[in-house]
Amino acid sequence: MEGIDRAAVLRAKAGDRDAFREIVETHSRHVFGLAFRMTGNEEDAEDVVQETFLKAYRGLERFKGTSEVSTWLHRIAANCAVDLLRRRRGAAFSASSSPDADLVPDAGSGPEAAAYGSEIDRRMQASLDRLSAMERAAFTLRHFEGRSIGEVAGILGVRAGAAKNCVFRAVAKLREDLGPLRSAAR
Amino acid sequence: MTHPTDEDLLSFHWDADRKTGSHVAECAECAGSLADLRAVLHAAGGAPVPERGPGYGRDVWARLQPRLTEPPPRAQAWAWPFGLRPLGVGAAIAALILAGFLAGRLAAPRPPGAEELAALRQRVLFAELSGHLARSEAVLLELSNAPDGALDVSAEQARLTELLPANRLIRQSARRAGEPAITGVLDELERVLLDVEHGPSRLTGAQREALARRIEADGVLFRLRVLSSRIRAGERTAPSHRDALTERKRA
Repeated sequence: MEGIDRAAVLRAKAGDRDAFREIVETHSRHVFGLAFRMTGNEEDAEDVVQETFLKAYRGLERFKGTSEVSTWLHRIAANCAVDLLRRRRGAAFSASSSPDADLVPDAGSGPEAAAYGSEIDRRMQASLDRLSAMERAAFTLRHFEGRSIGEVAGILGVRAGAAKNCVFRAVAKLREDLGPLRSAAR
Repeated sequence: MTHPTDEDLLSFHWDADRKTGSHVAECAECAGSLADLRAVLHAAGGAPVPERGPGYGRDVWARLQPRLTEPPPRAQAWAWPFGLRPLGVGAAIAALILAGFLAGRLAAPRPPGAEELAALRQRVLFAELSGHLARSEAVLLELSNAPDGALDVSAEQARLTELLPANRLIRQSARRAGEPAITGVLDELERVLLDVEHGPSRLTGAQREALARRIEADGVLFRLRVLSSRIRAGERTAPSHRDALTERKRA
């Protein structure tokens, strides 16, 4: 796969648009998965996919082949998603709020127990939305993509210590938000 | 007995190490903490990624293709004279603003074009400023809303290597364009950003609080938002190219 990718990149660099189409068709689904994990909704994820391949096309000349094509695309996609989240957070900040503890159902009671799972999902989504763009990106790459801290740092363009710290801060916030629900479940 | 920290347990979850593993096997308290941590991480993976069919790549390509209007990157090299290459965001901003500025100067003896060029310069300035304010606000928000305790700001400091030069360029352009309100906000913003850049990469709890208080007390976030609103309003009301042509015809 990687050999085919590199060959396609070389052809695309030489002006072969069909070669770039091959790259797009090969990697679209994976890029979408990463974008969805980072942005939390399909529409934004689709925007990130488009922006990623557009930037990749414009940056073909700068791709030196020192990393895998998939890693290169992940780097672009992660940064596109970070930029999009930052724009959204800036616009929506005044309306944001912490999850309301009063909404936590009593997991031990009958009918509410059925809604417990979806409440966890809702709270988790709210908690993920509360993460900073870098925290969400680092957490997504580490947790969902299985990237090492070194790879996360490389993709996000930060030092390894900063990437590690972003992941830890993300998990700490998730635990803080989900803690009341888990306590209620016991 | 020294218990592993939360960070150790998290690292263990992804990259098991023998030392932490041995401890967790013998310590019920840490085993419980690890189980809690794993439950949270498990819940975080609850929402599935929407399925995309086998033809998805073709769909993406179909939407993308019309946007690939520029010639292939190699063919663009002629556009940079004397082998000059793009130097990044800051240089691009500088080039745009400088081009607008020079165009304005050169066109000054021809009154009919001056309004259009002034409008163009203003739109370039506002467009760059709008993105810059959003990026700066994001950094300040992350700093001022960080949780209690020590804080690693190296990621934010890394972003300042782009933000600070951009801030200076845009501020110079704003000054030349006679926009004192914009210049004032960017002056204040630069002072805060410089403090962060020159500060330690890991803030103690007290330093983090002091920084958050400073951002709050200076009202820099508030001023950024006001300016952003003004820019958005300005973008809507700034005369368009067509408006400028209409005005010329009337005159």
